[in-house]
Amino acid sequence: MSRLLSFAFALTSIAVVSAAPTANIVDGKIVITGLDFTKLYVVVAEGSEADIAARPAMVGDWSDDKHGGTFTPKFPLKPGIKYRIVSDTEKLEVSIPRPKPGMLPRVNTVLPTAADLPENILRFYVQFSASMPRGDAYKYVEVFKKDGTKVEQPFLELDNELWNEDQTRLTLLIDPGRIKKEVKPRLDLGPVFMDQGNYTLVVSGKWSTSDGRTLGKDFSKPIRVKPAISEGIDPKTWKLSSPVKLNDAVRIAFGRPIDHPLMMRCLTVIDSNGREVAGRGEEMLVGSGWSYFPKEPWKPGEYRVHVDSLIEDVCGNRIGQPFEIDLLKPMSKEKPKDMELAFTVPNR
Amino acid sequence: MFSRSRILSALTALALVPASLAADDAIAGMKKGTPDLKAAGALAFGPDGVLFIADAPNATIHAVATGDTKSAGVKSISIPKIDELVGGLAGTTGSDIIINDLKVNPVSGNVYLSTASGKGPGAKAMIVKIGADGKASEVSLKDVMHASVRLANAGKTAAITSMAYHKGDLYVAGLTTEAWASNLKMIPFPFSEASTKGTGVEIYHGAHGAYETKSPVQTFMAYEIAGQTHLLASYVCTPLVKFPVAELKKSDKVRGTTIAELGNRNRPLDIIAFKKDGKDYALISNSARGVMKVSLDGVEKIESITARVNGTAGLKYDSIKELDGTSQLDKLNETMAVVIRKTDKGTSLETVTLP
Repeated sequence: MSRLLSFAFALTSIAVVSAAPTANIVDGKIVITGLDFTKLYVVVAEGSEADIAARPAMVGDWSDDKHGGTFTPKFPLKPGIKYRIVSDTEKLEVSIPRPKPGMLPRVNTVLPTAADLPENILRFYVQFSASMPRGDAYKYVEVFKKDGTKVEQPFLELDNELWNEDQTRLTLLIDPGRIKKEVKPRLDLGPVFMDQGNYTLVVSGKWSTSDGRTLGKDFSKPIRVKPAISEGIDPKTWKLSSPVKLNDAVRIAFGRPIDHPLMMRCLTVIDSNGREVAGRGEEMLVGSGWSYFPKEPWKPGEYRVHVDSLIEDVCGNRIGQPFEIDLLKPMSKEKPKDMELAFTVPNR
Repeated sequence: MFSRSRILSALTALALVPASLAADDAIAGMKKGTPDLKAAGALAFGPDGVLFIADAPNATIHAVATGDTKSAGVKSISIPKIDELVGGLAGTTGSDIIINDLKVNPVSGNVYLSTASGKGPGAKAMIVKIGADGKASEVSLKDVMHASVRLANAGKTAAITSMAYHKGDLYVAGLTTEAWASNLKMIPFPFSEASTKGTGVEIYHGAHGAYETKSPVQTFMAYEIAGQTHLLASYVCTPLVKFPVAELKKSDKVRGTTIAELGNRNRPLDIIAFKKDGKDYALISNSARGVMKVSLDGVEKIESITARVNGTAGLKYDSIKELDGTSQLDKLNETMAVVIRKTDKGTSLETVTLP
């Protein structure tokens, strides 16, 4: 009797072993078949066996099949990473092949557009053609003096690098401690940019892209330093040119470089009924001017350019409020306010 | 997970405790649901195990009742490769992980991390909890008691640099990718309809000769000075500044008092307060100077630093060399801290004795 039983047991075992266990990735899930087990988990199988053993099981949900199971990972499986399915008896490995590399991202431009920039410039933007990974920005953007020596720590290094949502645009702030007078970083290291100096901002070609390649080519932006702009913005001093023709643009010359994204966001054209005029804004005068082309030709009448109080020049000066406040001068305690500049499109 | 007597183990996400078990006050106004987290940045703990999570891309702060309200008896943790441990949970390697913040739940002693799996725009947010056994698990946010507050006028893609909760208020410091509209917001908790926007305060610190500016706060903590709640804040340009919270509630522009200049080539990362031999200290982790132990002796009397500073000035401090490479720091208890440190062996999470 006991012999019979053990025979039956052996048969069952043979039947299970004969169906070779398999693991496959189907729709982002790991599907295991032909496997009986008492425990089963998935672990990242990169690095040494000791590395793998030290890792926890991946987070996800299991559904149970007759001879196997399906693992739905909580976080998407990553191409190129090996995943190991571990049971009492088996170790199976699966991975998603890496996709063919697409176009290499490149630096499209570094804003502000102008090469002539005030000594107390606050902010640069690096615009890429495709998403870049976060985490390495401060390693790969540098500023060099004319003689090729590096400017020490020019940027404010934030834990959270300042990227836009699709990670195609990086905001770099010059360390405000190097701009503001009488603070230690500036006293010890000097300002980042010296008036009349020549510099080059370099985005290194060694910067890794998301798929582990590198940008390849350095991108250089020449900077010629001009005197600091220490006064708040006063839109009343801007020179507005009304459109001469009905399909022409309204133009504003600011008399100083204005922060590009804020220029695009903070200036709108309103008609006499208070409605926003559809159209397209463009930077002109290498960042010191703005033009707005209406989608439909202007209708003769009164218009206004609405200026949102958020607007800043490239040095962080706001409407009526300089970036740095000199206590020896009278200071307005008022916050910057929205402003409007009127213009007329004449009958012709 | 058991099924037909088999164990299918995916590291089971911690089930967050249902409403009935969490303290009533803390969860007032909370609803059961799944907060939509685009990113998990700065963290802070509120009362009764409530975890605040900054979600900068959504310009939102989530308050989540973790139900983690009993002492877990955390004594000593040493995880040599914390990034690999977090990566393992998410199904990737440590090099693909960013650890944004570390906070200890003061009620339980368990360690919480806000992380991103992936470095591109599709990165996934994950909250990780590390218990007394040094094991890591994902904190599931599915069907939890939670409340959210959206930051008004956050502008384009805000970065939230730091948060702290103190006596009914959540303080949030941040800046945006565009305008230099850095300020500090005070948001009463539990969140209410009236308080959704939070009060924004521009903080000036004079002390730079005749100049003063507003500047982003990098990290800060609440601290009682002479019976008055103050914030001790470390700015991106290195001064340590104090200002009374009562002032924040009165005005939308506040001038802080600079109480220490911590030197340059340096960026403050985290700040905690602790007591040793009857004296108060602040421990500040820095990008360049390791960890500084600042004596808070006489902080109530200190005059603002207004003259030019050679070297460092104000409150005295020591550099704690043994803690070099510390990127995250929080207090575990009166004698211990939890740090994340980068050494030549990798990125470790460990408990250390307060210096």
